[in-house]
Amino acid sequence: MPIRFEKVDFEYSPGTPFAFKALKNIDLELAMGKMTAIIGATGSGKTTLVQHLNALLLPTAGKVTVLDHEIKAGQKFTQVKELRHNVGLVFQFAEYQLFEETVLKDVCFGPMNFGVSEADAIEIARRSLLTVGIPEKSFEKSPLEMSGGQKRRVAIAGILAMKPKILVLDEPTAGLDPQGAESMMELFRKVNKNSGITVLIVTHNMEHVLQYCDDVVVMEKGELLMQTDIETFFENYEYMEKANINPPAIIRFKELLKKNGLEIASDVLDIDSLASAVARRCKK
Amino acid sequence: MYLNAIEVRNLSFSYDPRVRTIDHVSFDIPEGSYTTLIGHNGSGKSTIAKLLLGLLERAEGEIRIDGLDLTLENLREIRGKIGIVFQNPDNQFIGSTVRDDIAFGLENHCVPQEEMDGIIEKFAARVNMTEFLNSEPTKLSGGQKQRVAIAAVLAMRHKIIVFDEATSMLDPTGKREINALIKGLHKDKRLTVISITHDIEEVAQSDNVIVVNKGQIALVGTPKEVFRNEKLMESMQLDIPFVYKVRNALKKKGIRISDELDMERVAEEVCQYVLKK
Repeated sequence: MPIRFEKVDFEYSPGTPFAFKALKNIDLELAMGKMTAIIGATGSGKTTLVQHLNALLLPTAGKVTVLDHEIKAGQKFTQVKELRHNVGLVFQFAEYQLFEETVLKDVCFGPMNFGVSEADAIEIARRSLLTVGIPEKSFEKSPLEMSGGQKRRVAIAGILAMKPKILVLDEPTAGLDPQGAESMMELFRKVNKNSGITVLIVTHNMEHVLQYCDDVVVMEKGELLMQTDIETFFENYEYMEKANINPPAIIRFKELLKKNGLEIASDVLDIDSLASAVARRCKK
Repeated sequence: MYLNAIEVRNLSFSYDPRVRTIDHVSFDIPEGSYTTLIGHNGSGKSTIAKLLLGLLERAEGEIRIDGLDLTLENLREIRGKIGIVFQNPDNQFIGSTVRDDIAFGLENHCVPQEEMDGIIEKFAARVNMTEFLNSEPTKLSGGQKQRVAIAAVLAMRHKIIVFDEATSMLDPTGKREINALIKGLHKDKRLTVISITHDIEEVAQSDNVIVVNKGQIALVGTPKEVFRNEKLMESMQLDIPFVYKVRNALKKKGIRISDELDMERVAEEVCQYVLKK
């Protein structure tokens, strides 16, 4: 059961002088089980798009289908709770949303809110915290005592504890240092591969898109510009230049090799395969 | 004339008396250089920057800025020589318009009113913000706000500017804008730039690199000299540039290339190697 947008419009403050159409006629289908990147310039509609997935925003035209929930423009949507159980949304700077007195209690909040008993919630919370790399000794700490990166992990554990089928992350690595960002992305890969959770990531980081994602959705000025797999996306160098996207280092390097007469196959996307490809050319 | 814009000797500082945040640090920053300061989070980079500006009071050691010892008495004069641009664009906008924001520092330094407009316009133009002079901060993007912060620092005619992760909260377009602007400002080498950064490509293009680890200086040198110490860099959880990773992978395949850092030249070199065979 995929995620489907059919002719979806979304307008902020409709009927007022501040009316602004943030999504225009979006037709989009996302397969389950994958890790998909949603990219585009600031203000292109990325966040607006993903906030439709758990009915935080409702379409002003068209229809959104998520699993077996249908959200239609102009109709009251009654399955908000079930939908939000299935779709976990992690906001930008999620660490600002922690509110309980201990880390463990914060993570228990979600499952208990969905009717899980306290004992079971604690068990689920413990496992979620370990999954995101928060050690036992921190469970009873106040979230305020933890670093920014750790707090963000606690917030993500809170979402995972609800056992969502779809995990939506809005710029989850913004403001983290490169190592912190990298290990955060590793975590999402683990969640995606081990638990089969569908992951959608809004990001500006092309290195992450290349290294971790299967597919890319490109937004521009509220419209869906492109939807494709990673290999095809990074093959189109001219397009990236035109769209003001700074390609990952390996793609830029391959383009420079090509200009100097050495063409490397499009499926070579990491440094070791690149070195092997160069070595093979030497032997010829 | 001093050859060093900054001289630091035996500098120590603690937030908490039990832990030395900065532990007997000494280094020089040559005048007109582009120096990057790198290190893992919590290594003490930003603390060093704040000590240089006199925003924190050192426990021990000496700091000399443009030939002048940093003391409580001449703090005002020091602040006329060195300025800082911080990480968060929203935390450093003081005025209600771009014009007011740039004027703020000038007013503090008693620049006569009749000269002020000319100065403001000149530096707004330097950072490409002339058309926004009367705009409110809420109407500006993060990159534009950082431009204004830079203009405000430039208007003070500082000889040294510290950028404390000034692009880390910006989107890729904002990052590129600001990096290009800083590079342009440094072009004639009259300004000394100190950039605290995680951007490895910016580090590769700088003149000097200072690596900070656990409150101490772990390495100082040109980018090539620093990145040569791969094991040490790895032990401090610091990245090396993409081209050096390529170089290592090629070496394993028996292909040796020079220690060039410029990606274009590395590509040329690899192609020459392969196509000559």
